[in-house]
Amino acid sequence: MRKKSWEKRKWLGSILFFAVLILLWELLFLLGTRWLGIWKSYAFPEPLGVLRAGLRMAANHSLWYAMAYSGLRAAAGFGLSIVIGVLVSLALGSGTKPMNYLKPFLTGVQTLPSVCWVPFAILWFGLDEKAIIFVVVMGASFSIALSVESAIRNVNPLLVRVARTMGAEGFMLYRRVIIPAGMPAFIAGLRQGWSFAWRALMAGEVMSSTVGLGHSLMMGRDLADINQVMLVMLLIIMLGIFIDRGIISQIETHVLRKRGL
Amino acid sequence: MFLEIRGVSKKFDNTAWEAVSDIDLTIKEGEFICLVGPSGCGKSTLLNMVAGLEMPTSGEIYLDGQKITAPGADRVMMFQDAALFPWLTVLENVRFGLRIMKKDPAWIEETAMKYLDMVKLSKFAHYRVHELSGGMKQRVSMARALAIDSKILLMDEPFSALDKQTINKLRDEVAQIWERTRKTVIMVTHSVEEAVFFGDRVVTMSAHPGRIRDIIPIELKRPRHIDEIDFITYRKAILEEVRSEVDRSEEEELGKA
Ligand SMILES: Nc1ncnc2c1ncn2[C@@H]1O[C@H](COP(=O)(O)OP(=O)(O)OP(=O)(O)O)[C@@H](O)[C@H]1O
Ligand SMILES: [Mg+2]
Repeated sequence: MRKKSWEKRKWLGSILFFAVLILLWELLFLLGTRWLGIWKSYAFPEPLGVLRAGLRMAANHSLWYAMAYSGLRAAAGFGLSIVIGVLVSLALGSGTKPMNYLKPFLTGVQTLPSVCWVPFAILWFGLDEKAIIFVVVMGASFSIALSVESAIRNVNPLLVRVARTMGAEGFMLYRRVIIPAGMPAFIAGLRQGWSFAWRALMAGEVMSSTVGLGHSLMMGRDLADINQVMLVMLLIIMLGIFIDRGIISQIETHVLRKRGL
Repeated sequence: MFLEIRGVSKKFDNTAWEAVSDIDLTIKEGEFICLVGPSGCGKSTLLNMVAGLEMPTSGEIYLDGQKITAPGADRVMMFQDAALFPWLTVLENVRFGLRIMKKDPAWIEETAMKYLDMVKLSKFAHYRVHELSGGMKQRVSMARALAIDSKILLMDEPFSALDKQTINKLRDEVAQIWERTRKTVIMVTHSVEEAVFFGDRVVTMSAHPGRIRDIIPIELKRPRHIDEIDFITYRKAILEEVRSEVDRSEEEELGKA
């Protein structure tokens, strides 16, 4: 009961916070453009203008298309990154000699900002979907691989020993012990992987010219419509957070709560 | 003989001496063996080799005529830490080994409940591991091990992470359960009292290298009571032996340093 009302208060608090923030923004806009005249109104976004841009883009459906295409690409790219990440992590964990060198190599590649893969991807695939997915996969899969590998490596060895003396070996050991034991670390790795994937996707979309949020951002620039640019930026933030907070961290909470964490 | 340890030695790469050296020990079916000795004398290492978690550098171990080469459900092991699976409920933990064996689900359910009942935790079947006390965890760990009905049960200091009161209670319960099941058990303990309380034979070991020093049959009727005069006599004699070993290994360690 008490927890509920506390959560409600937290909600109210954050609504209030954003309302005040938007109000201040509007005031700042009015101050700078109308009253003092030090900013050009086309160079400074305004909350009402963002709202207008949103309504316009919603009305001509470009908003929905952009979100749908970006969403599909994110799902495909992130999904593929998980699959590749898990496979690479299994190779990393196999303990064979070359794999000992692969890990520092991947850690190194991981430091490359994903936008740097764009020129490569365009030369390789041309300006199409494959290029963008490729950028996402390069941006996210190694991070996932490294975190899955560490999730497996950090499984309490005692649990593995106990399970082995109860007859669990090979695939059974993975299925019944290593995977569930590593699950919290795996999900934490997915969260990080998601943030890489989302950034990489936007980098790819900004650079290419297919429908999507990144492209809408560039359209806003071409039209010199700063309100559209702002709107799309806000959408990118919100969608990124929605997947992280609304989906991945819900699963995480569920998994951790079971263990009393 | 049921379990045969033949000339088993184990040397780890980073130590000069053998952690376990030339151990010969045979154990009959239904026997309760207790291993005592100074810290570092190789008790855990010996137990791990019986479990198949560790391989001897030389010598062999046979269970029921079969050479031990890998871990298996016929040699379940319990550790000082209950090592329950935190993502499973109490009941699911107890079912763990049975599910690995792919038995019939209804039978698994029934068997798991039976053993939970045996450790007096059937009321807690659907609790999560983090909701249990240390003593309850160790009980679940025992139910999980017993449910598998292995040929031999290996216990490495199963009570040493618990407080004195819990230990006393748990000891009595384990003694009762053992009288009912008459399972073959090897228990490592640092408590001589515990060894005399449980053991059909108490094996004392010495360190650096880890050797069997003595094997003492405990001819006391069960249930045993720690305040009986014969019990105390046994305890004193073994304690003296172990103490001299502890002193010797400590002196050695200091001498080396
Ligand atoms: N995995 C390992 N690698 C290297 N040395 C080891 C390993 N396990 C044990 N040892 C060494 O082997 C010797 C025996 O260790 P073991 O754990 O069997 O002793 P113990 O009798 O169980 O001691 P305690 O009563 O403290 O549990 C020790 O000197 C220890 O340092
Ligand atoms: Mg030990």
